Amino acid sequence: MESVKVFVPYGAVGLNCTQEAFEAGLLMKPDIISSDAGSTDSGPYYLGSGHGKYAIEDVKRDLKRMVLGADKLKIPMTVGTAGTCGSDEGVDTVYQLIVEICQEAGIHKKIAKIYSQQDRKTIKQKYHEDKVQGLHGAPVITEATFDECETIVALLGAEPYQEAFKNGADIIIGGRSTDTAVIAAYPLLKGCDPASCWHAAKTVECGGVCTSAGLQGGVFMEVDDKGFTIRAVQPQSTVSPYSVSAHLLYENANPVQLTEPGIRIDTKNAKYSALSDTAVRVEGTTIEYLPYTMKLEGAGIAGFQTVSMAGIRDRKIMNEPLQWIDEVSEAGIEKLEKAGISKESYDFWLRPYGYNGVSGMAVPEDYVPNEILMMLTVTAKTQELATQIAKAFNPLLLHYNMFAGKQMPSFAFIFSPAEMERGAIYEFKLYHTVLLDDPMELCRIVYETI
Amino acid sequence: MSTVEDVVSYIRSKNAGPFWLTIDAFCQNIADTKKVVAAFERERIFIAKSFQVKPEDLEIYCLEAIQVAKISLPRNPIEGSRNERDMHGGQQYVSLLDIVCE
Repeated sequence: MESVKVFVPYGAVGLNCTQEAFEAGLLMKPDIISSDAGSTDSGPYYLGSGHGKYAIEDVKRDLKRMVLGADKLKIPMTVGTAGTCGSDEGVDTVYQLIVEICQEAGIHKKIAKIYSQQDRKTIKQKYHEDKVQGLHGAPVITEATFDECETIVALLGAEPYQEAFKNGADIIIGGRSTDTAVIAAYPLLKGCDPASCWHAAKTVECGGVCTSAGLQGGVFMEVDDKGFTIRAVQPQSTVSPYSVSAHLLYENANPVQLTEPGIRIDTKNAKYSALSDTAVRVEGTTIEYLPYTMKLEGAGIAGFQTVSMAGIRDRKIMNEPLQWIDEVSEAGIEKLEKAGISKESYDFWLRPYGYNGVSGMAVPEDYVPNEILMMLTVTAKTQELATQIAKAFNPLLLHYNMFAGKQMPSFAFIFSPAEMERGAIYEFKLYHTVLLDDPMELCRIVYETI
Repeated sequence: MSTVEDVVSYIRSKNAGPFWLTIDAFCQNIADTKKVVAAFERERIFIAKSFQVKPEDLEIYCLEAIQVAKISLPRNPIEGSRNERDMHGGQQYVSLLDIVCE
């Protein structure tokens, strides 16, 4: 059979790659250009709010290169997990940008939008049918969990993408998808070895990270009926059996197996061999078919947060920063209680950066910092309450004196006003699988011709 | 006496989804890789305590082909919870650096 060649320019749409890498990728004559556009790695805000992480200008620049490049070669393109979290809003935003790009360039395309955001009712029903299972480490859920989620998405496998290709889509914009499905779908559809399609797609999902180019340059994969070849595209960059095989570890708890909707691949017998400094051949990956499940991700509001920060250099406090924190905390709680605000109605946290703010662990004996950034975060049910509480802490952060008989100190505020409102903060609430009868059950595909 | 920090050529930590953390310790040769894996096994209770998880929940892998010692473990707290200190889990490997490799 003929091989299928996929050019993956970016680790995520919006992250950019060099112009020379992009042009080199096109010169290698891909059959499709694909890129993932999202992740849960930057925290629950994006999923909870439904918004994207990257600046819209950056996303448009990256999409524009893909759309124009694919048009020039007359090949299709896919984008997965549109808008960082793959919400319906993310799909619509990317669609809108692609419409603008096509109109500006005067080109016409058939576009498929695959939505994978879920309504609570559908998922609750699956829950009652006992089809929703927690992944290891996931919190225990009840029916109420679904109501607590602002956004729930199901991670698309390859099938909806294949369906959209069969219906003639030139451009496919996917909602939340597995990082690999968006890249594996086309070679799978063309009959390439399934285990190799998934393994290759996992290898390239972060773009050039599996090559020496890192985030600078994209990557190229070629799959056939026996295995796959990974090629570096950024000029002067290289790829090695080591860089290719080591990427399977990245952000992956199990470094040997990879579970995707309906399948699990096993790479323990995979053989990696260098064809040159810029090409690595992989064969021997095996696949096992499983009952079809999709992963569910859900995030909801955990409260509203206000932040305040003060820098401290006072040498006496540098000797005992944790004692200062204890005393300020106590004084703050007492002050708020007197004002009728109970301790149960808010959460606050004072973290000394420069001391143990990042680790929270004990510091080495005799460690005395030069200066510390004391960061106060207050979380409450409303933004107003969070800010009111932060303001009550304000004079303590500015002046708290823990040494009796000394004159009142003043610490170093950075901003005026000293409080910053962060808005709603979110928490991941769902990270479960849902068992399905049909891979298409939880997705909706809408076609547009422009 | 050498520590993990002395033995590895590169070590990183990262989220593996919101509920898991994974740490990759890249070594120079297979002997060192086995040494680091053995040290992780030996210090399973210490590591679990540092990350506030159960010792039996630590997954320790010896990847000889790429000379990597890897640990995956449940993330505590869950990524992005209000007590988060390290959203991407990128600084969590530091807790392992002083473990002694025999």
